[in-house]
Amino acid sequence: MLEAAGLKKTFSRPGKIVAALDGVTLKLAGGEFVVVRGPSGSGKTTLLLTLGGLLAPDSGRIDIAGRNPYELSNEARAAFRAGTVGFVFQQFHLVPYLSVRDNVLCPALAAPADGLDKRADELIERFNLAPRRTHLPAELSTGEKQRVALARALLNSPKLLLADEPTGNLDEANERVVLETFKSFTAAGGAVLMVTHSRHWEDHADRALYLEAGRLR
Amino acid sequence: MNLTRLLLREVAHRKFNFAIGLLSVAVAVGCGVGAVLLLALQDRQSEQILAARAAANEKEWADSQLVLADMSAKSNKAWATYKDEVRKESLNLGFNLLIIPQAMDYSSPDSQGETLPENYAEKLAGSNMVQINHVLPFLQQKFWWPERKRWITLVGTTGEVYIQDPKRQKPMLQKVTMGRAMLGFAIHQSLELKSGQSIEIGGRKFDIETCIDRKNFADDEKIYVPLRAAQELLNKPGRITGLMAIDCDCDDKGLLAIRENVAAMLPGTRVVEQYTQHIARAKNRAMVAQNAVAAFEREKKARTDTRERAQASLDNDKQSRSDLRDKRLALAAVLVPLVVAVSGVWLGLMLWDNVRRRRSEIGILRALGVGQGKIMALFLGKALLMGLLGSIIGYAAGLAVAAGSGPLAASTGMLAAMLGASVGAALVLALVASFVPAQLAGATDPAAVIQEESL
Repeated sequence: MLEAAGLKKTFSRPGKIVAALDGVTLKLAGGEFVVVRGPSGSGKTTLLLTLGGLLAPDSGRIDIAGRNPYELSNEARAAFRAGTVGFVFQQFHLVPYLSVRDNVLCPALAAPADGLDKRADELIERFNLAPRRTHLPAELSTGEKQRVALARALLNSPKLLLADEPTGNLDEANERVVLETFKSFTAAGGAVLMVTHSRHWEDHADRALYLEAGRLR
Repeated sequence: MNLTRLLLREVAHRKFNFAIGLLSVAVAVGCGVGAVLLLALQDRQSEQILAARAAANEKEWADSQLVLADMSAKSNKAWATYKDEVRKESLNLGFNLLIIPQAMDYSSPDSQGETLPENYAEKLAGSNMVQINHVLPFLQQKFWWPERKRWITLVGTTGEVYIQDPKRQKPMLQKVTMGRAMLGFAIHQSLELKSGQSIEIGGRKFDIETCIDRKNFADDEKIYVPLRAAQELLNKPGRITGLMAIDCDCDDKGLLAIRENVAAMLPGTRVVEQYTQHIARAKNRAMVAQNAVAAFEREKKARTDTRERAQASLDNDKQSRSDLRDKRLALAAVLVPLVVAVSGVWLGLMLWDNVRRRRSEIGILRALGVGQGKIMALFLGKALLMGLLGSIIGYAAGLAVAAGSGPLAASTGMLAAMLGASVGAALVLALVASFVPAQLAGATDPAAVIQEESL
């Protein structure tokens, strides 16, 4: 599902060059749930963005579902991303003026398709958001927001789900919802790569990797 | 979910931001529409005012023409009256000029010895001297009437007038035919003579043709006989005492001209003006007529001056209105583009701020796979919506302002064209103003946004 080899990514900071990724090589098969753990500033988010086709590496190669997204044009890569990758963030990044249902349907802007409305309603039901269907993000609890973000990530039935500290702000009950979602997603053949600084998730993952100073162990 | 829905949701969410954008477009469009309509209104009002003033001037001039025509008619009538009265006066008076020998006392034109050649009459009559209309030669002298043993004044006259233009002039005096006589009042009264009787004068028989009514002491003692008979009775063949004449113009210049002309034509004569009081009256009448003409000329000049002043005032008004219009047009030519430019900049800044505030949202949409073109379309669409609605609001506002200032000076077609132009211009303005912000939005790097928010 996902293959990355020799990924390098550096950032210029005042007075120094920071290597966020320093020769990262990674394989992720379909149905696999992998956790990448590491301290803050270890390059977890950079790894996630690079693997998700959002941040081109300085060197190295990535293959997602048989394609290297960085060989595509910007528009084609966006379309590829829309149909292949789902993102879940700690900050949720919901659109503040859209209702729950419209937020779930946001991926339809990128890849409109028949049946998305019905799928959105199914996801809303599945994540117990039906009573909140018309509510704005500001009216939701933190757990509800993350459930909306999960539903949005799953709308286009991606093959790869990339999650950045998805439970960082959640209580146990909502954390369990996230975990169950990942489990069911992998059970359906999808691959999940989650970055976190918490050891707690290692017990639930198929594999756990440790990222430090841009290198995976 | 589609872009339109997303756009409308965002507009509904940030109403104030959208309202400010609308307002900036509306102000620009309203300013332009208002300027055009107010200028058109001013043009129409100026046309109406100038046309009304021009019409008033024309009416006043037409009224003046009527007044002048009336005055002209009155002055002409005064002249005609004057001439007619002079003529009638002259008829009553007989002849008003006396052409007599140089040395004769004109107050007693019967002095012995002083006479003129009779052919002076033909000479004067044939001279075509325009100032003299009628000429009558006469021979007059005190005469002892032996048959009645009394002094009379014997007047010999042809009884015919030498007329310069027989077709135009009528005889002024009754003709004394050969063998006949006319008797003055004192004579026929004292001698109890009547018309039809006969008398003898110096052995010649005359039938009384007319007994003349009372006139004055001198004339009442006269007996009128044919000139030839008088010349024989007085033994002055071919001689006359003088010529009586009527001049056509009683003013001083006319008399002077007659005197000069007669003196040159008839040597040894002088011209005496008779009946001074009547001439003075005639002069007064002439003066009245002249005054009427002068009054007419003064009035004509005053009214012509008034018309010229009114026309000049109208021209000045026209020019000042034209100048004012040019100034307003120049002001509008500066103000409207300035307002449009400021509105465009304001709209651009507002959209740029909108992009900045929505950076997170744009980032996540880009992460979800929404392409750069769609993100740009989202912001361009918002700007176009502002342009469309703002132009309609601005057009309505400009229309309302113009309508509040007076009746709209534009046809339905022109209003429709202005609406189309307003919408088109506003859309262009919105597109130009939003182009850079939309590009910035489209170029938003989702990775950078997510990284920033993850820190």
